[in-house]
Amino acid sequence: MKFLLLFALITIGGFLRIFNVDQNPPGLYIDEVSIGVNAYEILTRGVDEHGVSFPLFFEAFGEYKMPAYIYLVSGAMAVVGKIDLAVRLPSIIFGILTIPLLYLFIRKLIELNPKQIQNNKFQISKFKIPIVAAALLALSPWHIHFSRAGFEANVALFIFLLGSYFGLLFWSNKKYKFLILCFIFFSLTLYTYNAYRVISPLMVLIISLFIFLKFIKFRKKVVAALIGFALLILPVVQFSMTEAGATRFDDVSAFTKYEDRSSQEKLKIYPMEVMNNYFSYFSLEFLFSTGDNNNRHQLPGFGLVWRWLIPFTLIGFYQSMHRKNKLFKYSFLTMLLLAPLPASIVQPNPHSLRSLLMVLPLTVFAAYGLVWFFEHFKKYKLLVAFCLLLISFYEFSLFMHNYYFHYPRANSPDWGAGYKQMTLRMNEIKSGYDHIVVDQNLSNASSYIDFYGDGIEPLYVDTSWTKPDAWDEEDVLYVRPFYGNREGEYIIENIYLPQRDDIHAQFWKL
Amino acid sequence: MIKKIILFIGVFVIISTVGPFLDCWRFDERIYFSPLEMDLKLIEAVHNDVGYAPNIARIFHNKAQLGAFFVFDSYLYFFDIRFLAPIFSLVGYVGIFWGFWYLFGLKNKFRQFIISLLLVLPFIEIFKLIDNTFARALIISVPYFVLSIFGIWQFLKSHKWIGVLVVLILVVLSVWYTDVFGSGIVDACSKV
Repeated sequence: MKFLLLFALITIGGFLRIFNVDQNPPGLYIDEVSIGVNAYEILTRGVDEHGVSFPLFFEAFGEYKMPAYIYLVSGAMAVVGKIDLAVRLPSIIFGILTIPLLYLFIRKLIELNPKQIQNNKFQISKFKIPIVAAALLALSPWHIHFSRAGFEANVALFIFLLGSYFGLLFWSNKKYKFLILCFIFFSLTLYTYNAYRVISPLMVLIISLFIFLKFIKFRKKVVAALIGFALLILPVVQFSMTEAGATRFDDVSAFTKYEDRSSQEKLKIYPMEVMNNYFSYFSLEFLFSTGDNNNRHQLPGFGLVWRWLIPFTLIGFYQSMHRKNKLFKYSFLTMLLLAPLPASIVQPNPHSLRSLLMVLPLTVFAAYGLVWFFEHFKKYKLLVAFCLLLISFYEFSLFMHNYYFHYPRANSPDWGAGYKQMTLRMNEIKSGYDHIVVDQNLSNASSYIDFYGDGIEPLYVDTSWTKPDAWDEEDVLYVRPFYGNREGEYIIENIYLPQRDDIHAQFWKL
Repeated sequence: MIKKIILFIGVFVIISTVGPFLDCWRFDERIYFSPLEMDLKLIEAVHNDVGYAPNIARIFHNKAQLGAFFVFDSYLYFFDIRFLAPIFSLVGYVGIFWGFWYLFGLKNKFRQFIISLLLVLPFIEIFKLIDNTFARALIISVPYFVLSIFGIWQFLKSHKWIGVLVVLILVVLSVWYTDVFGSGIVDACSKV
């Protein structure tokens, strides 16, 4: 029965993450396209888009991407081909797998100290909280959205949780192999998403400290594992200290705007800036109301967590902090406090992608709160459950309606919609032209043409370009952004954003 | 005695920081309930449902839903962890957290009274139930002010010399940071 229920949740979660995923989000975003281009080059030629053979760090748009997700996409392309789905497939799969993994993780935590999570009134089985948490994660708007696009952070989240799970297995079984696996997976997170360059080493240090203090006979082995971990992450650490490796941080640093201030002012302002950024991640508005206001990161008008979960999340947090099960308490409290750390020193803030790790502790606290509430207030259980079901069902339906019907149309400008249609149309008509010229104001068009183009090698020009005399007798396909004229002498076709009347680009024949 | 002196200094710092803000305190425009804004959002949402049955569109997009979400989201604003952070000094802000912590340890009418105030007063601001901005700002800030002083005093009482040291450090930092808060009054006033 339990496994049937878990299987049903995985199926539902899987459906929500897969349904129409090649159309929603509408179009690959530029980062996804860059991943796709590099992944395909790796698959076919063993080099990245700059010709570097099997690189450890991929140069893209002046900064560097971590390699893990790109290599995963290469593997996906080997199976499904060079399509949009391949770019998103690793995120989808690992997003779905996070659901049962969270169930196993919480269940193991409760098994380790079953009595300490209960008090006289609160008697639970080791099944309720894990299954409710799995259900909440399967239906989490935060996790659903980031599982549907090519976000490295989502894969890193799974790997981080897997590393934590192996850490838990070591705590339970005292087998050294689990500790090694734990540290290996934590080291892998650094090669998956930038934020874990801060989170994972801190997590490893905390785990090592606990083991060092609690298990005396494992002290030497912990040190050895730590050294192994340090060796595994050495390439990332070394790279981070180079100018190239620091580019990303320089671009998004939260302190850039204070560069012209005096040292004394910086001493005052920097801590306040970091604190302000850090606390923004615990803002109720950010979590339950508007998200980070980036339409690519969530459905506009909806938060990252269901509104109806607010009281249960707070109850669950309060109750779990007062339980004696330190492992349960500190595991999720550590995740919750660590998650916003790396994002606090960069901008903008808050940022729902960089803080994705928070979805796990918040889901668990909400599950704890729900189970505690219904165990504690048995008198009005049915009435409350009925009201809750109505409210949650309505909010869920509203989200589904907006996400699956409104979002692909209303928010296509926030993604790469239009570029794919433009490039595919260029593929169809290119044979009728001697030259293809693309206006550079179609920003990032080159990446989309690299991914979707079929042997197209356009000339990229600025807006002042005119057809040279040498091309007088030749046909030129001139691809430009929409500058305001829907019709004109040279315009042969308008490329519209999907499901909208907005023109993304125009084809001119010169 | 020394704890009372420290408390007095802390209260003085809080008042001297909060006071200037009350004159110019303007809440963010987006938290005020606006029927016109709700109507505009409703029209936009219904238009996005082009091609769907009107009944379906109305189930998902109606004034009740939009109004409820709007009021709910505005209400959340008053329970943001950073709410009042720019206004209260550092010691005052930390005092609010201590106040909540010790408040939940009580089981008396004071707890019920403070919690009731905190839950009800935001509606005064959301629906602009009082015209005068200064009066609204004062009404909103008083419970937090009381909570902060309560929290600082409880912290001092339950910790010995370490409590005195911590509060003293916070007071010193608050005074040191007054420059930052002082220079940010104009901006903070329009944002908070």
